[in-house]
Amino acid sequence: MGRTPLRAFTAFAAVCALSVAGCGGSDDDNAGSGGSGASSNGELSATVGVIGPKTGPAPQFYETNTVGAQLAAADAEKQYGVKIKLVNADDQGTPEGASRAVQEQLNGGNVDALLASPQSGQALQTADVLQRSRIPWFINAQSPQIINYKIKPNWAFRTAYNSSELSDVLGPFVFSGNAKVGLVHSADGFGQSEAEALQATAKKQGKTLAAVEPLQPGASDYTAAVRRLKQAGVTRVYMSITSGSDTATVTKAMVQEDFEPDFKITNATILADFGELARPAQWKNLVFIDPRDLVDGAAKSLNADFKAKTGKEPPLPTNVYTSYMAINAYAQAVKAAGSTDKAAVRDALEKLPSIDVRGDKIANPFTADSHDAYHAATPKDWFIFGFDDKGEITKRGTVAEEIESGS
Amino acid sequence: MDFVIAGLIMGGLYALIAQGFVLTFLTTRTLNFALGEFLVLGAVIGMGVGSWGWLPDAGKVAFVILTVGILGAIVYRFLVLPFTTEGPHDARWLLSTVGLSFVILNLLTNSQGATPKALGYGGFGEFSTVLGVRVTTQALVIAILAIAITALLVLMTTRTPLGLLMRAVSEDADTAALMGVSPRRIGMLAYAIAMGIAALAGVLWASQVGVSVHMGLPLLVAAFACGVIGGLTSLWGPLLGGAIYGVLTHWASFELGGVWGETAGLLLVVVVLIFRPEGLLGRRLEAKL
Repeated sequence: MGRTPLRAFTAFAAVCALSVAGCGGSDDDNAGSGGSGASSNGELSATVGVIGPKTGPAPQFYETNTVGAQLAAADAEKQYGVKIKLVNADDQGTPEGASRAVQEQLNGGNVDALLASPQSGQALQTADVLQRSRIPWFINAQSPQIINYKIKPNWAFRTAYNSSELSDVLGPFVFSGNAKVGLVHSADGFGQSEAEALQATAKKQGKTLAAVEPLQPGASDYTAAVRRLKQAGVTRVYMSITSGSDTATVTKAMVQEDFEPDFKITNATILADFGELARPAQWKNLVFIDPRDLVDGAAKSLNADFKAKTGKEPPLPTNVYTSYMAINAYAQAVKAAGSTDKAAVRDALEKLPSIDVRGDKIANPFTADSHDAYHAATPKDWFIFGFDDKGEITKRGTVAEEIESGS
Repeated sequence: MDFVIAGLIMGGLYALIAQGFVLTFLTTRTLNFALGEFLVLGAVIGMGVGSWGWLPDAGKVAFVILTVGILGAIVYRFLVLPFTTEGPHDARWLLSTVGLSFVILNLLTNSQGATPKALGYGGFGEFSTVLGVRVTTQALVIAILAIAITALLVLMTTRTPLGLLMRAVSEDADTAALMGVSPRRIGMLAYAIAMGIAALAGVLWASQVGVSVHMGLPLLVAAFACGVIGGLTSLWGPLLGGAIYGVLTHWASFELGGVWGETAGLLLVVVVLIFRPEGLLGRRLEAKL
């Protein structure tokens, strides 16, 4: 399966041409490595395409996905003897860009699996094509609709939690203690998907949301919406917001309007930018939930390696984690299958005993019925985090413990 | 009352930025649609000089205003003026400034990253109370600055020799040129002042919300709306436009929901364009045939 010099030159020239044209393209992360499958010395190797928004409004998704995959690939070679070559492509942060990047990878990328795209909008755009392409496809975007379970066999494997799973865990906490719950959500795919999931959970539990307020990403001021929350008698707020900077805008407006719910609850998207932009009054009663132990677990070592590699803290630490999960799962499946045969790898993924993120184990992530790694999660498996006086993250315990404590 | 005060204060920020549109339109009949990116540029440069411990904060802000002002003058000379040579109907400058905004945005995104960062200086404390309504002190300072700068600009254009030249170019650039005035230099100066004001707004606002390469667009839309409502040919126009736009968007956000806030403001722009296209304080421009 080795490349001929002419083919390699042609690929290189094509990449150069695409780069110069400014229309995306692919970058070999591990140039010079061989093709895929088992080599003569028995070493297994595979090529995985990693697609994300290298350019466009949110390149942090590309960077975190890429570095997470690189860290996992390096670990996988030592752990499982599987050499993974990563081939990156730019989806430009647009649905059209995602379609083009996916087509390029499928038609000429010579890839054995794909990790694409980290943003729900782009992942949704390419979901149908990818699920019918008979290639293991890993996703770490959250919209539940990305995986169509009616398509059999199912080639999609999600390593992030989806919005429905989040709401299932969140619901018992958010609606506990007769709280009057208000919802603030970004007016984008991510925010709307989580908002719909929470509304569905509320309906399932026979609860209603006292107020639902959208937030335009990048909004300059949110005081009017906070006044509406206050007027509706809201005592607890769930914020489904795409970025930490927007969360800072909302919490600042809450302080300005003297609005103090007993809990301001959100998810790990707050880790992007919030700490840098918010002041102590803004993180009072602010908590977020996540299935990963972000204080004592493997996330800490991944963040440290990310910093060593890039010189900065990861802007989206949970993306580093979930892209690591994808490559770890794939490497284990290749080892179990003994080759990169796509069907064999797909079957192996469904029988994987656990994904191993440097000691964090996600047990039985995929089954014949569910390709969502966190499908079995309950409030006792998820953690709840807050902030100390200096704005450092603190672990309060599990969501179940928080509910039991009478919140 | 809450939404009136809050709206007036936010309107001050929009008005300050909108002065960038009015100044250039008054003197050159052009608008810089990269104004939002100049605002971001100001914030980014402000962040860059943040580590200059030897310079007091006011000096850093002054440096930013000067630097971005010079860039504004250069942009007028090389990216606006050459595209206005075909007469009053030559609108190629519109494309060149829109193109410039994309170039600056891409350059800043690729060099600075998309995640917001704290500016670290230029803040005026947490909150202040105005007529019983709590507002951020930063926004209040910006609103007061908007009024002060507008008054200064009015004084400059009506009471100084430079202002006389600016008004002459504004009235009739060709005739002013025959009288020895250089419309090119006046245009460069107007762009320098306008972009300097945008940079000032960028630094001060970034001090509250952080430096983000994407902070320009929502402010640009609001500022343009204020400029159109108040009138692009009146220096007082942005203040009136900002006040109306700010109060209306706050009222609509509170009474009708967040979705309607900006929508109501932009609907008002449409109404103004239908019934008074020159804006509430603007004057109708006569085109020479």
